[in-house]
Amino acid sequence: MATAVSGHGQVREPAHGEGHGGGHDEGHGEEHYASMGVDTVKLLMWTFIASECLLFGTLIAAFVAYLNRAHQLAGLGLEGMWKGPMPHEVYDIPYTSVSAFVLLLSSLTMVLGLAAAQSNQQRQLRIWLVATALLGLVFLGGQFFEFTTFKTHENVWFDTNQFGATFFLLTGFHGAHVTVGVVWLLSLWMLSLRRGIPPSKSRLVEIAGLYWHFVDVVWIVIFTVVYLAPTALLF
Amino acid sequence: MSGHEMQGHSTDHTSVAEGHAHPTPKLYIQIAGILAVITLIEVFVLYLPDIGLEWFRPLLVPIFIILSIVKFFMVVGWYMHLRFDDPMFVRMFGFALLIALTVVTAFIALFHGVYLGL
Repeated sequence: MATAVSGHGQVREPAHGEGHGGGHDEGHGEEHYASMGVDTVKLLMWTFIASECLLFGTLIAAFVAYLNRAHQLAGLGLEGMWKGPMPHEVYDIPYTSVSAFVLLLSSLTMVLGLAAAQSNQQRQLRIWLVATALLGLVFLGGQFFEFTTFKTHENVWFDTNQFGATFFLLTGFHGAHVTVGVVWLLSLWMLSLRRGIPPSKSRLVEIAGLYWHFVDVVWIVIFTVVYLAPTALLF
Repeated sequence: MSGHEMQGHSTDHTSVAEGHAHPTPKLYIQIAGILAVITLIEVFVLYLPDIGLEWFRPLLVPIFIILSIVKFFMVVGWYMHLRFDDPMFVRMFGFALLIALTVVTAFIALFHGVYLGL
């Protein structure tokens, strides 16, 4: 059992549920501490999330650049110069709000799944994992419907105009992240079905949860920047 | 956070090393409720100008930004446990967030400078 120095210079002993096993690590999912005293797996996940911030920051910046141009044209009464519809002409805000609710709800089920994993409630863990994955699938279904509606009824696609290019790139990337999250959650669900996920391995659920919550956080920003702000600006 | 902590017992688990109480499932549900209400408010205020409150329109974007910041930090702080986790994670996430915000701000200034008087 390893002893680590915390970030505050205090020597910490892994508590119950971490690294126990009678003098040897039982394996995956347990906390592993670097010389800095932080859990290295979580450090890796936070590093990944930090890099994702930069990726989505760039994609959002591209959309903002487009939005300002559309705002300028609308302000000058030159919407006619714009090829294809503008965002506020195609958005269905109540529909997208439901998607936002679904993703927020999935964050709740995810964190309840983590609580169940840490308190060794295997049945509840499986229920919450499946619920989270299903809510993710509902969100993806909603996004698929929105994309097809845009393409078939509104004639907006990647190559229609700057709005299409930046919108589909940003929301498509987010949808890809949700897809990865759903696969990850279903993998954990299958693992819990086959072998169970004891509290000592609840870190597996926590790391997946960090990813899932980050996807939710990104949607909070997208919902504001991509949906609400253009609707308010380009009325 | 261990299951014992979820039930309110104190352990020497690293996640309580700083002496903070950890969220309980009840608190998680309350936070979800607050997040849902904030989202409802966002949608509600969006339609205020359409029912005759046109003066409200310039306030919409600032309100959206403030509300989304509140939602953002509630999810990151409680659901992602950043409030209770090692400060190194906070610094790492904060630094990346700062760079991302700088990029977005730079783009706004670059493409919207005429309106902002830049």
